[in-house]
Amino acid sequence: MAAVTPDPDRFVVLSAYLDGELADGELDMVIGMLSDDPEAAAEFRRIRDMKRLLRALPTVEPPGWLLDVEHYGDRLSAYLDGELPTEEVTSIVHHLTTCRVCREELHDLDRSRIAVRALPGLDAPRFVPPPGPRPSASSEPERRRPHRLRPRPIAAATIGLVAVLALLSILSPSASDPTITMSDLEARHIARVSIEPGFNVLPASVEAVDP
Amino acid sequence: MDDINRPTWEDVAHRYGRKIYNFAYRLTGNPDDAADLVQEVLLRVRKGLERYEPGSFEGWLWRITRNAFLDDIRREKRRPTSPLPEGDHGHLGSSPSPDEVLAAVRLSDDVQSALLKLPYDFREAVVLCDVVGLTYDEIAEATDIPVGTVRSRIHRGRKMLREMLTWPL
Ligand SMILES: [Zn+2]
Repeated sequence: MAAVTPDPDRFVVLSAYLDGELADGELDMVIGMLSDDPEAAAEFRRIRDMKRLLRALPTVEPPGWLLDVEHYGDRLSAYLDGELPTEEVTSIVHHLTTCRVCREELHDLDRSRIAVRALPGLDAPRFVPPPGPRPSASSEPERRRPHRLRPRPIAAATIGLVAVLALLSILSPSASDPTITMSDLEARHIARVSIEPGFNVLPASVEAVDP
Repeated sequence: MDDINRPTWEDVAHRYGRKIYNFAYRLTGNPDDAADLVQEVLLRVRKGLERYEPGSFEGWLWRITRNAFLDDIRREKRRPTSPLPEGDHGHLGSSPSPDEVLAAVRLSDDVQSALLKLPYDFREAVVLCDVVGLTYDEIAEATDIPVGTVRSRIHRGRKMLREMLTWPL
């Protein structure tokens, strides 16, 4: 019968010891192992040295645009509304070419902005007397509330709002690929420029790069 | 979802972006993949895609990070065992000599190459423990495996790494 090979995980406690992760009662076992078992002591040194090497791996610095620059969260709305000074617009446009998160934020802001602008306008409520002779009893409440909204315009406005919301939910990033390409943004901004004279999000000189 | 206590993506970027980047860099050996992963994590945090329970921030964040990483591997966007580029770009200590710099770069390159040869489960456990600095409980929470398995993977991972490195320590 072949010799029983030792459990390859017999020394698992040695790593746990190095990491300060021993369970109750294991410390005595480890101390005993290290003082009585030369194999355990050698394994301990190897694992300890390996852990030191791993801990000594240098911290790799991320590219500056990823973390060191400020993201533009709050100012993206002002950017969309053309309310930022030129130098800030330039830096935002540059940042947008690399930062997916700000692009997505801009995308969402832009979408809600368009949706709000697309809401149907409500006509001012106007009282129209029903045709034909009216019994004086039923006309009394109408006269007391001359500015009451009629049900039909409310229903029409509600349907319009629901339609916009439904469209939004179809277009929302959770229902589609969240990746936004600069060309996508650009296409929609070009569309905007065509309906809103004076609106220009991306200067023509900026080369859109999708990293 | 607790929207009031859930950290914003800007918080995560400022406090954890560098750690997430280093996690991904050590798993892939590729700076572009690491930057992609950081952005993907920030997007997921921004959309609140994972349930956040106050008190387990690390577990929550690293679960998101790990899921984002694994999703990308599944889409075969990443090359988990791609060779190292031109060494590390990190800090190597205070004004060391050129020889020391070269030795340190070679050393960390060797360790990184060995890491990339480890099976993913072991690489992940070792990186979360020794590079990111998570506790075993946090690793168990992030990876959704029992603490006993975490402990075993870390130990066996270190052992395999040590065997791969041929030079004496
Ligand atoms: Zn940004």
